[in-house]
Amino acid sequence: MPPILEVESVSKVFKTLSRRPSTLQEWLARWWSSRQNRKEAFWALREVTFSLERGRSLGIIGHNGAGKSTLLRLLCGLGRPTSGRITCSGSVSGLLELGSGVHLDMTGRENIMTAGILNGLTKRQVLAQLDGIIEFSELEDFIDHPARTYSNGMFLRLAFSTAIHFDPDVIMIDEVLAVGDARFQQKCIDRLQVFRKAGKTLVLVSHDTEQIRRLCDEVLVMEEAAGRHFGVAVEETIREK
Amino acid sequence: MKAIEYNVDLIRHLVWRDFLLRYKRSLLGVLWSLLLPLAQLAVLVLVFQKIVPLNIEDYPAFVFCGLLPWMWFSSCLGSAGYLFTYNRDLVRRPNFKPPILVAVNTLSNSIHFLIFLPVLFLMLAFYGRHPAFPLVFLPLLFLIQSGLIFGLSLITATLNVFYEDAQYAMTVAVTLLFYLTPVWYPAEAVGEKYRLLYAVNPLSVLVQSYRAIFFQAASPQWNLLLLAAITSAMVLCLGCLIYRRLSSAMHDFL
Repeated sequence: MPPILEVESVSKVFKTLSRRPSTLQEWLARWWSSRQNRKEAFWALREVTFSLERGRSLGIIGHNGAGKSTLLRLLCGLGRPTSGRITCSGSVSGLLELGSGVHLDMTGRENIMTAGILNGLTKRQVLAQLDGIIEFSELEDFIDHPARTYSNGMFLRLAFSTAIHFDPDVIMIDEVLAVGDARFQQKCIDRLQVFRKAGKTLVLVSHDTEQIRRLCDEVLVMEEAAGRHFGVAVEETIREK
Repeated sequence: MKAIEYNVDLIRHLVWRDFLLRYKRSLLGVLWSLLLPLAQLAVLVLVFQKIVPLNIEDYPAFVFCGLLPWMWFSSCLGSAGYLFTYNRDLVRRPNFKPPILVAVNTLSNSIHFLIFLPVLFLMLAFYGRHPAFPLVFLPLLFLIQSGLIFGLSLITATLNVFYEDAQYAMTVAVTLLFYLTPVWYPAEAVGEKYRLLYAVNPLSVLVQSYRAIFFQAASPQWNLLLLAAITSAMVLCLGCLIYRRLSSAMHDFL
């Protein structure tokens, strides 16, 4: 059986994002001095390679700025790698930055509907799931308030229960679990264990090595934009690091 | 079957969401979108029938024929630039195809056109102008205009992610185009020297064609309409090309 996720020497270069000319004047000045001032490139990812079998779960750890979030976004299909190839056979649900999939002026309920439909469900299917989602998120009292009034913890509840209920083949989570209180975090972890037992694939970015130990079969350590270690032995790899 | 149901749900939900967000914090809500065309009609009639008369027969109906397609065009392009930046929540989701937003914007603004069609027919009937055979070309005009709007909107929306100048430029262009399109005056009044300007502007040809089929009960000028269709198709292709070229970089900016 082919792996569900295959990443072959993927690199991502951001071309001087912060130095983008912001006005015409600046642009002209830049153009004038372009010969001395060579373009700088920022390598967010360098030749990252790994593959993941269906039903396995991968933890990604590393310092801030090591490229974890960039990698995860590429895995979700947001943007294309500068070089290399990513193949993913299965439906993907992503929990990236908090609130990235939420419109602040819409209510929690409306946001769930949007999320469901964009995940490939029909309206009827979303309506069938709606009560379960709201119940899991424990947001009954706030679900008809605009998301603008939500706290970070509430965003997480909404986003997590939405993402997990639509039953994707792969779920990608970027650190966000840390926002929830201990009880809700535990609830998420229990739910993710169920998800894994169902033969689904999890990719989890976290600074919490304990979480990785409990949830992941394999671990990828990111260092300075490159995947340094890729280990099946989670314990050892974490200790080595 | 499932795919059809899904796509209908998707488009319906996004159009509904668009309406909801647009009028969420207003008292009159959707009524605003009905008020605007009527207010504009009233002012144009006041100015060009009473204050500086153009002496056009059945002027209110004459203007309304041109105003409806014009408002569809201008309201789409007035908001096109922010389609991707304001809808980051959708654009940054896996599996979402951002051009859907452009299609939805094009569609949801056409709803006003459709809502006002009966009003237009009543008005035409009031002046003793009854629907005639050339009306069968209405879907064709709709199609050409949709293509034109979709292409231009896609270009504006994509470029605007990188530089907001795209929307500013488009707003200026739309404002000026209102005077250069025969919405409130007849295309026949245009001097010989400037005819070419009106022939190559697809919007102007479209407005003339709508007016022909509604107001004059005549067929559109086929040679001009063909040119407009070709131009619209080219704009559409250009939009798709620009989008394809820039879509991956777009995610880095959003």
